[in-house]
This record gives sequence, structure tokens and C-alpha cells, in this order.
Amino acid sequence: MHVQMVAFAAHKDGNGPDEWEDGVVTGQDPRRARFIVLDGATEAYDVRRWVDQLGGAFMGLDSSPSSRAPRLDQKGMNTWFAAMQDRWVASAPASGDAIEREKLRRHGAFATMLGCEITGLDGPAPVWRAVALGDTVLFHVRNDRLLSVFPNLGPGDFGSTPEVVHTKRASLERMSTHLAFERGDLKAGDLMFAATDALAHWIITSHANRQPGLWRKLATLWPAEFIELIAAERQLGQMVNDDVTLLRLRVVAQRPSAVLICR
Amino acid sequence: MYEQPISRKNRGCIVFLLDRSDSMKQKWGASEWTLAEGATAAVNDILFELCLRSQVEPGKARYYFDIGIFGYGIKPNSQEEGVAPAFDGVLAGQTLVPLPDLRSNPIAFREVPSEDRGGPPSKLPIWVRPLHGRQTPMCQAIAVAGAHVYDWAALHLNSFPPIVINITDGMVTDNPYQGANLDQWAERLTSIATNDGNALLFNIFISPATGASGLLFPASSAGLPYPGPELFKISSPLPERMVTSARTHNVPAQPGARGFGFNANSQLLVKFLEVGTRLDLSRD
Repeated sequence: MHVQMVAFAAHKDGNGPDEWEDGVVTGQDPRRARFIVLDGATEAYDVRRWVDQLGGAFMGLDSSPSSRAPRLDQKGMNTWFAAMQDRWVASAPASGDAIEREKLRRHGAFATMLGCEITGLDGPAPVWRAVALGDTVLFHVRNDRLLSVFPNLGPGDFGSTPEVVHTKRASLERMSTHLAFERGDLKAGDLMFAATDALAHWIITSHANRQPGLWRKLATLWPAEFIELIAAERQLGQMVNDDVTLLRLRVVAQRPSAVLICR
Repeated sequence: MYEQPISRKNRGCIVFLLDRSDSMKQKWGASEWTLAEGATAAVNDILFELCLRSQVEPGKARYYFDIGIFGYGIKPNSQEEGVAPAFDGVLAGQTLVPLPDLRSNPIAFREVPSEDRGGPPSKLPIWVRPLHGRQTPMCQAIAVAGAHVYDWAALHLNSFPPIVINITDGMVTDNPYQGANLDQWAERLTSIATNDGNALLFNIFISPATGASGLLFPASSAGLPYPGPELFKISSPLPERMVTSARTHNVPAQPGARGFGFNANSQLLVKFLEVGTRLDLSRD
């Protein structure tokens, strides 16, 4: 099987596109696929550098000798978190500015994360395993039915202080304690959606309100329609004004022989 | 009311009125500082905090605030009595300064010991120097602040209303000023409004008395000696969000709490300033 992955993004209304603080990285080979979606926290400092570091390291993309993509289990993630914090400190830009140094020392950077690995794409029964900290959410849909929500959040669970991946060493134990894991099987035709909190909250609320055609709408969005959807829901007050990221995954029986790109 | 978060589109305005009368030369309780040195240090510290809050990404501070500091008492250049902007250096003479300009133009740095064992000291920027002399033209200070705040509010109608914080060791000596008394000048100032509410006037009285018990954000001035009731009367009620902020600073602010402090030592002054300037940032 093959996983078609498409990412959509909309920056917070009032900000510039270069101020978008989410992140999404995907990768695939004939046997497996991996992705991560990150939401840099509003209150954090230098958060885009943290999001970039986490995203690249989760996929094993960066050039550090110790940068293997983490195993998605408790021990693997604990080791990875500690390595990420060390690398953050080691790679901090040199600055003679007292305000920036103090900001870095006091606040650090933090982000929610949802990471996932799909294995067995070269066989009949691929599976997915995911790890999450915070309120970036994965939705697994089959035949227009929602199979699972991970983390299992309800409409009232989206607050201003989700669990986060933090640069500060003192947060390591808390991160380990609150790390969540989930897994599931995949079939051809399945859809998965990974959304950062503003959109995740909207999806969960829409599903709870039995909005007809929700999954079909998300499954068939084009980029321009995505932007229109976000703008409309913000205008209606149905979606919080925040950076929005959606990663859509479609499991297909085989890799397409041709790809048509439209601009 | 008092709900608008601070953003680049709807920035905030904070004005400090700093008593520079001669009595500020007195030692502040058991500390090593004079009242003038301690108050100035607290103002420099809160300016540093505001710069930190506006530092969202490396290399630049977001323009979230316009900041003013007016000293009243001795005027630094002429040595006469009056009210004058307290910024020095590149910012000398400027009334309301955009925060990025403030951040870029400290007048000096002071060393602060490192919190890490054996670590080098930090060098923190300062923008205001202590000064004392002459008497206490507080009415004039409120009048001057009001004029600048009035113009600012007219240009920022959708912003959180301006906050004026008056730090004094007490007794006003220009009451009345231009035909209006202290109450009237305070009322004129707090009648200035944006769409989010009226301007806020907070007052904190600092005392040289060693061992004097201080209080913050009371709901009543009962039992307070002069000038407590007078300053309490002209202090605005604390908005709900600041009441919540006070409680997170372990200050038990009750319903009806005013933006007022009495007999504050240096720690209470710092808490007062932190609560009085703690506004929601929307990071826009």
C-alpha cells in the first residue's frame, strides 16, 4: 500500500505568513511512512527553531551523529526528549543581548506534538503507531466513520495550557509522564487527519454536532478551499484565530503511476 | 471592559509617574537604597520585564507598548521644580516611547549576580537614573500624564485603556494646581477612555519607615494614615484580570480592590508593578 500525504496550513489572522509557528514533516519509503505535526506555543520564545529541530530530528533528517529517528515507545521517546533538549542548548545562537539571553533562560521554547509511524506498507496489514503530547490530534476514519481520536479529547478539553515538549530540563519528567501512545490497523481507503488545536477543536465539535459530510469535506479539500474554510469558520466565531495545520493521509492500495500537479 | 488583549494592532500604553522630590533621598526601610534608588530600580526592572514580554522571536521586540516615564520634583536639566520626561540618553526628552525603541536604547547596564553557581553576572539594561530634589508637584504630574494619555487614547480607541502608575513617598505640595485639586486632576485623567474602558490610575506610597507594614490592593482605606486615604480615593478599581493576577502573586485581592499600595517595601513595589502591568498579550 501507499500513503498519500498532503499538508495544509493557514497562519493566524493578523500575523504574517512568516510568523506561522506550526510544523509538519512527512517521509515515506515502500515499507513505512512517518510524520510529525507540531504546534509552537504562543508564549514560547524562538519557537520556530524548536519546531524545526523537533520536526527534522523526528524524521531523522538532521546531520547530527546521534540523530536517529526515535522509537515510538516510552524509553525511546524519553531518550529522544533529553537529546533534543541538549541539542537545543548546544545550538543556541550566540547573542550579546541581555534581553534575548534572559528570555531564553527564563522561558525557553515549547510545542505540542503528534508523531506517527506507519509500518507494513509492503504487506497486507499495515499498522500505525502514534505518540502525542498536547492537543494536536490524529483522527482515523474508515468508510466515513470515525474509528479513533488520539489523544481522545472532547470539545471541552481544549484549554490554554496543553502538555508540551519543552526545552527546559526540569520539564523532562512531566513530559515523560504525560506522553500518550496509540496504535491501530490500516486498510486501503482509510483516511487519517492530523490537526493542530484550533482545527482539531473544530473537527471534534463538528463531529459531536453530527455535521453531515464532515469527513468527505476534509477528504476532498483543495488548498484554496482549505483557506476559505478556515476564514469562514473564524468569521463565524466557530474556530479560534490561531495558526492552523492539517495533514491529510489517504491509504491507497498501490502507489499511483503518475502524479498530476496543478498550480 | 478591560478585556482587550495587547497586540501590535491594538498596543497598550503604560505611563510611570516617579516622585523625584527631595524626601526621596531618605533610606528605604532597612535596605541599602534610598527611596529614589529603590523606586528607580523597580521601574527599570519592570521595563526589562516589558521588553522580555515583547521579545517573541530573536532579533526584534514587537511593538506592543508605548511607554512613558515622567519624574516630578526636581527637573534634571534645569534643576527647577516641575515635571519632565525621565528618559535619558538617546531617548532624553521623549514622552511616549515605542517599546522597540526603548529596548534598543538603554542608558547603561547594571550587573546582577548569576543564579547559577559560579556563573558570570548578568548585565541588565537600565533606562532611568535616580534623582531627588525640590518638592512634590503631583497634581502637575497627573495633568501632564493626562495630556499625553488623552492624545494616545484618541489614536488607539480599540486598545486596552492607558495605565498610569504613580510611585510616591507622599505628600503632594501643589494642591490645587491650575485651579483644580488632586481629586479633580485624577478624575480628568480617569475620564479618558478607549472603547475598552477608562484610563487606570494606580498609586503606590513607599515609606522610609523601617518595619512599617505594607499592603497592596485593599478594598478600603479604613485605618490608613495620611496620605493613604487621599491616594486610595484617586486609585482606580483593579480590573478583574488584574485581581486574578494579584492572587497568582499571593496577594489576596478582594472584590472592590483598588490599584493602590501603602507603605510598600521594595518587594511589594515590584509585585505592585508586575500586577499593574500584567496585560494579556495576543501575540498578534
